[in-house]
Amino acid sequence: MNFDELYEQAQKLDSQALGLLHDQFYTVIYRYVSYRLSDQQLCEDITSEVFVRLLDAFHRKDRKIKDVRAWMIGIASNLVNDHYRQKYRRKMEDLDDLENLPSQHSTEKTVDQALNMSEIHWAMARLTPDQQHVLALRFSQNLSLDETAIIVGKSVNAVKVLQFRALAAMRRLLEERWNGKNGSA
Amino acid sequence: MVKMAQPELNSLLEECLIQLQAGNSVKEILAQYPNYAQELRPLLETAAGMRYNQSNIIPPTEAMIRSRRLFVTQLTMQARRQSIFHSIHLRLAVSMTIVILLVVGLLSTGLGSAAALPGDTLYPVKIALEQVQLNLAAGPAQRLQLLENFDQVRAQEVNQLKTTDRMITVTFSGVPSQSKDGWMVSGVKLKVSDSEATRLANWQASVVQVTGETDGQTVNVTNIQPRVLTFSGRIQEITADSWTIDGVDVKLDSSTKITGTGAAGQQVDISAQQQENGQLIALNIDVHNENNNPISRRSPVVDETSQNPVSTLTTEVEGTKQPRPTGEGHPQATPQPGSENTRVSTGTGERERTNTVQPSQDPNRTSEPSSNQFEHRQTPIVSPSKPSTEKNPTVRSTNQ
Repeated sequence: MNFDELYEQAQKLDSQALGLLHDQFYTVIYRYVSYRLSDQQLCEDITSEVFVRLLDAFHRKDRKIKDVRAWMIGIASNLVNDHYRQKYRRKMEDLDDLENLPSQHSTEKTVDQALNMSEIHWAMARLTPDQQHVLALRFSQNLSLDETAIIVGKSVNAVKVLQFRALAAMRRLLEERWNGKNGSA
Repeated sequence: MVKMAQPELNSLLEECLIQLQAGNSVKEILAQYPNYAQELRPLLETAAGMRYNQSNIIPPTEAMIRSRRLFVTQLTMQARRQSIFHSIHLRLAVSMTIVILLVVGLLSTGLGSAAALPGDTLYPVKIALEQVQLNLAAGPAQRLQLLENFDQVRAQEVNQLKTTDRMITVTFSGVPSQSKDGWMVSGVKLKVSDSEATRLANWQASVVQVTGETDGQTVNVTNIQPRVLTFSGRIQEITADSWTIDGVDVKLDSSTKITGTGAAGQQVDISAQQQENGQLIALNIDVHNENNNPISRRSPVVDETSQNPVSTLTTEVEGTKQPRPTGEGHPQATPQPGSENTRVSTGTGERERTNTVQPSQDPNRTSEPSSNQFEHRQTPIVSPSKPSTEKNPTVRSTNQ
């Protein structure tokens, strides 16, 4: 069964097709959410919620879903944004926790050396939702610029600007953190 | 370092990211753009660091299983909800269908009954619907209009029955007229006895109610009487010779008997005879007292021997509680004017009447109002008068 057939069956609420669709996209959504949130349990919950929303859409016979992956990532992005909004209302308690994460990096870090995920989360949490969205799409999904632009709903040029500024802001934040940590150490 | 405009720099970064995604190292990429290495390096290093983590993010198998289970559970629950929703909808749909069928059935019966003729199964439905219309009418004026319409319908029915050769008892109303072929009412030829012909001659200006059996081209009359309508309402205007009651003008003549003193705004009960030109001539007007009760109802006395209700209204007005004896001066069921010592209100004052029976100013006026033959037309406001033999003391028009 190819993807189109699978998706068609899933739309007809075939439980087997829905199960296969779930398994096929679970990692995709989980990875996207994981780039934006540090709490693993929350990542799992949001990922599950995305599939429940998909089911609702199938029940409603929502014909607006042209690209199911893009649709689900869009839902995941909204759920993450909702989570951040609620967090900001709670005076960014969790973000404060991230401040105390131990740094595993130094300014002497070599190129290509991976950033620690906790650092990524710490820096990501300080970017705008659009910047987070673009970076998570580009680096969690390996999406092209065009694909990212479609999911984000912006022009290619706008996404180029967004990703440049997002990477620059992230680097600046990390350097400040690293310098601060090294200085205090 | 060569300075580059921001748009070009954005595009250059994108080219570098594509190479990074293709698997090239940051060092390899920067080697291609040595003039911009200083600007690109921190961005590409950050991007490479983020990209490196991608492969490390693997969802826990248990989480995936839990999510799948939740997904399937939701599917079952939603299917059940939908089934309940559908069953509720189904029940609603069935209920609505029944209601619609009932309404359509009633409507079609009503519509079907519109063409029904006396003797047809649906004819009582037609009459009942007319009664409903009369009951729903806004006031006496509208009811009178409806009655006129229904009179035309009755006459049409009788004319239609001529072609069917059915022997059916019919009741209809209209103004009698005499031609070379004999007496006619509403275009229907009547077969009448001599005595009835004599009476008809006196009623040529009044609306009469005819009951009889269809007999080919004619109706063999069994009963014929002038139609008297009774209704209640509030006095709107009083002039010397007419009162306006809820939009209906009622003329007064010398035979009109008024109990109580009328004034604008007061509630009255009226019985009146309908004339050829649609005018109503009042036979009796009973003005309600301050308790909104007709004065004539205060102390009704029924003369058991005569089998006719004898209201004390005249003596009541005079201040005496003694019932007026029945006799020659009080023809039975006769709205003739001139009962003894009756005080008649003209709206502007009161005048004494003589104690002798005066002849009616209108020679066509009758002392025999029609009996209750328009059962379906009787409404609390506008209806033919009650039979004179009723002992109901509220019936006042038939025993003057």
